[in-house]
Amino acid sequence: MGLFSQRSMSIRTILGLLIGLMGLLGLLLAIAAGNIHRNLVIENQQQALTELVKLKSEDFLKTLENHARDLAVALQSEQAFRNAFEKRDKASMESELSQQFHQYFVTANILTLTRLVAFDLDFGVVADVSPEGPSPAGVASPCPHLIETASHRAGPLRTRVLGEICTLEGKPIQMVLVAIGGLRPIGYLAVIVDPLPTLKGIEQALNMPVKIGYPQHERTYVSSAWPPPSNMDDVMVAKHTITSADGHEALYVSVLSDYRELHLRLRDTQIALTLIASAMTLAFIFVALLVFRQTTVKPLRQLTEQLRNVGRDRKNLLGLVGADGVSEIKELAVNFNQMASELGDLYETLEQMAFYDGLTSLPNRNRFHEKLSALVKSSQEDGRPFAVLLLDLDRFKSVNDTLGHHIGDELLREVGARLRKTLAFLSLQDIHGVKNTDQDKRCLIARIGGDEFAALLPDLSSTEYAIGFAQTLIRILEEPCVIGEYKLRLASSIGLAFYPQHGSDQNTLMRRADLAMYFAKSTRRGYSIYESSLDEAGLLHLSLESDFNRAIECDELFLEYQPQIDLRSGVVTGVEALVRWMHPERGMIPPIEFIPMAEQTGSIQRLMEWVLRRALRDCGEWQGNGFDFGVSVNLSPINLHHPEIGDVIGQSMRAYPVRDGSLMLELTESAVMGDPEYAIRVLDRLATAGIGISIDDFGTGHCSLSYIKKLPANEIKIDRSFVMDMNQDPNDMVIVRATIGLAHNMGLSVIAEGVEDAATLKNLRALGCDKAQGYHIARTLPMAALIEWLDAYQEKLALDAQRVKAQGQT
Amino acid sequence: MPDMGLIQMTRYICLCMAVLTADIAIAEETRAPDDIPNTTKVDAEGLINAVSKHDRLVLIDSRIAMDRKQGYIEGAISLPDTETSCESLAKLIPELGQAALFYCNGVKCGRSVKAIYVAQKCGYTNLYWFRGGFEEWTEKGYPFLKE
Repeated sequence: MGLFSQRSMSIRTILGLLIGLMGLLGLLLAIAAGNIHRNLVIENQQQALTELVKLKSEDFLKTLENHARDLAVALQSEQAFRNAFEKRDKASMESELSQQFHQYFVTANILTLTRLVAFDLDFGVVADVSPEGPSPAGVASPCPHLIETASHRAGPLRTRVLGEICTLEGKPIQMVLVAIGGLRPIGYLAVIVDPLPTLKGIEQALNMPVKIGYPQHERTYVSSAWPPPSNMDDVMVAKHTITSADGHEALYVSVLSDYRELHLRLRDTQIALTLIASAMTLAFIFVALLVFRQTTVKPLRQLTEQLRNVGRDRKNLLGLVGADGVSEIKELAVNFNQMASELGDLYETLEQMAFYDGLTSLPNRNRFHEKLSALVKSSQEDGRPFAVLLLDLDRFKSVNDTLGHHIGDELLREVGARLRKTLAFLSLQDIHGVKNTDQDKRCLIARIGGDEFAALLPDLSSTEYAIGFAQTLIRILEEPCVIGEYKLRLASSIGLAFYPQHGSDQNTLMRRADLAMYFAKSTRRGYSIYESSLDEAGLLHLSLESDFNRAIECDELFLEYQPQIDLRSGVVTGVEALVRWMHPERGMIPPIEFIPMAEQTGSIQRLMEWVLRRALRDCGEWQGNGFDFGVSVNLSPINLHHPEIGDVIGQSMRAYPVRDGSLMLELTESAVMGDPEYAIRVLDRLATAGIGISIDDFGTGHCSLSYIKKLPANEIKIDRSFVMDMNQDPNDMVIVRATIGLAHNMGLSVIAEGVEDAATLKNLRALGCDKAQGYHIARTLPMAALIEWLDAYQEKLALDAQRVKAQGQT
Repeated sequence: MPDMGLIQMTRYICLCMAVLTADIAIAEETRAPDDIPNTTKVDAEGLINAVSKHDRLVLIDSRIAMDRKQGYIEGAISLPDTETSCESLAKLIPELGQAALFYCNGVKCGRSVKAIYVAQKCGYTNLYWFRGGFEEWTEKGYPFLKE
């Protein structure tokens, strides 16, 4: 648990703790340093005191020795003493020496004489006196070490004064030895003094309590100011030990210093030191945290904040973070900004790609649906009405097909620009009377498909406004577009659907706007508002267009063939290919429904190409099966005027090779008559390539015979309307006969379609018609059925031939 | 120096005096020579040896009376160099060939040197010079008397 909470601690807390810890450490160090300082001060004080007592003791002892020496020198120089010594007059000498114990220097405590001894040159005692009188025989010789040293001297050195401290009967004494006889020694005089009274002077000199003692001796001197042992706190004692010349401890001097005051001073110092250290530590922590906050925490927080912003909305990627703080953070911020700006650019590009149309730079279908969905959602909450507009360019497909895609694209670009301009203009005009800065509430125009555009009018105040908007769009698009060398006039159809009365969800609104648009298109009324009646009637037809494009790709189309026979021999001379559409939901769709639509929407070119290729493929197949006839394919007027018609046919024929002369193209009169000069040029080229031309539905149009003559046609097809009724209607019979005669005159063969009974067939044969097709001969057949029929028909033909032969024979 | 004011004049004089005093001080600080020709130089021990060698050796303390108060070598007669003359010397050393030793405070003291020069001029021939003087004597721990 503890670990977990530590892991979730912020960097600031951790560093704050660390800095606090360091500060605490610093404080402890300060206290320790204070203690060390205190101990050092005390130790120094102790050393200084010891040095002081040593110097003072030596000083006092030296003075004592000098006094003793002066006494000795003076004494030996006295003539009376010298005479008595030379005579070895012991009594006189003892008397002379005894007097010294009563001199002023003894009484004034300058010297405490304890003994005077006169020696001869060999250190035999001549006289020995102490304050009590002559020393008794056998008394210990003082300072034997000194005497020993002195006895080993010779020559002038014997004259030198010797002095040292030694012990006599446990007591320390100071002895000075001087030669008797001045520069010509005749003996020695030893002056022995007690150092204790002199050393007591230290107490006064230092103004400190003094304790003087001898080792292993009870008699010691202790100052009255010396505290009792129970009260020895806060005092410092320095002891100096004086050793005798032979290395024994002879005497010690202790002084006592009251260091209560020092103690107090030290304690004050220590407290001050600790306080200063604490204050500095606190200041350091404060400054460190401040610096850390400014250099690390704040920039990091900015980075985090920016990341959060980005998380909320990717658009914030372009927001930069201030690059301050320590160098690492700066670098991080710079890198972050760089990455964010790269990501932001990328995001914009992606968004542009995902939500904008590359051609027109208008929002695309995705964006439109996104906005629509948002609008539906917000309107569901606040109940504000809005309008969905779908706009489709009329006959755009034919522009694309006849002038090429690049012109179509240019046109779309121009349309996009106009729509955008209109929208911008309307926005500036403040369409709702209130400035609307909310991006979600602004009008939107998007390109949602090839030539389909859509608009959203949020926050709609009235349906009139939406209608006005639609009218504006139509008017603006009506202006002719100049693209390259072409001046194109566009018309557009707009369907409108309103939230909430036409639908409360995205799909319904879109579908109904779509229906309204198709209704407007089919009725050529520019715009139309959705009505419920549109659903039933319109839906079936209107949705076919989009389905048809799919049909070509998804193989919903197939071909049926209707055999054509030679009326004289009965032999099959060809088949007419007829396209069929099996809709996956609606079943068979008659060609009369979808071919005009394909012509209108521009799909007819693809349809023709598909039919051509499929027919040629099948033709190649049956020719491979031994059926030697070709195939007729119907050509729409639009196909004929397509600039690439020749190439398309050529490519298809190369893709599916068939015998020469196997392809026949059927054209209506009107196809040729639209632009006869052009038609003749195209057909001449096709005819040269060995393609047969058949004039379809002959007799229904207003064909100029002069043009017919110029056409490279091979055959004329008499329209079924004449053929079907020729048995009953004499007029039709006349037309059929005239047509056959005319055609034969022009060197063309004639085929009749719609032959539904044997009588018609018989009549046609009688009229000299060359070929016929119709239900009476064979209905339209899919490929497999055609092959079966052909087999059966050939068998029947063979049987007929046999019968004719047999009849001929019989 | 007709333009010189009183103050300048005083300063000039002071400067001259300072230079002169410095000269005197330097002369007094001068150490005694290492040797005096025709004189036997001795140290403290040499002094004691000379005393034992010549029964009639005269020890002459050439210091002034104030210096002698610190103490003197036993048997030394006070005759400050300032009072040293053939007459005063004759009273102490009756014979010109008699041994005589001179000392003063120490190596920085010129009094014994001066006295010896006087003695030499007076014709004394057996002269000893204790160059280290009273300073060496006391430093080596030899006894001295006080007045």
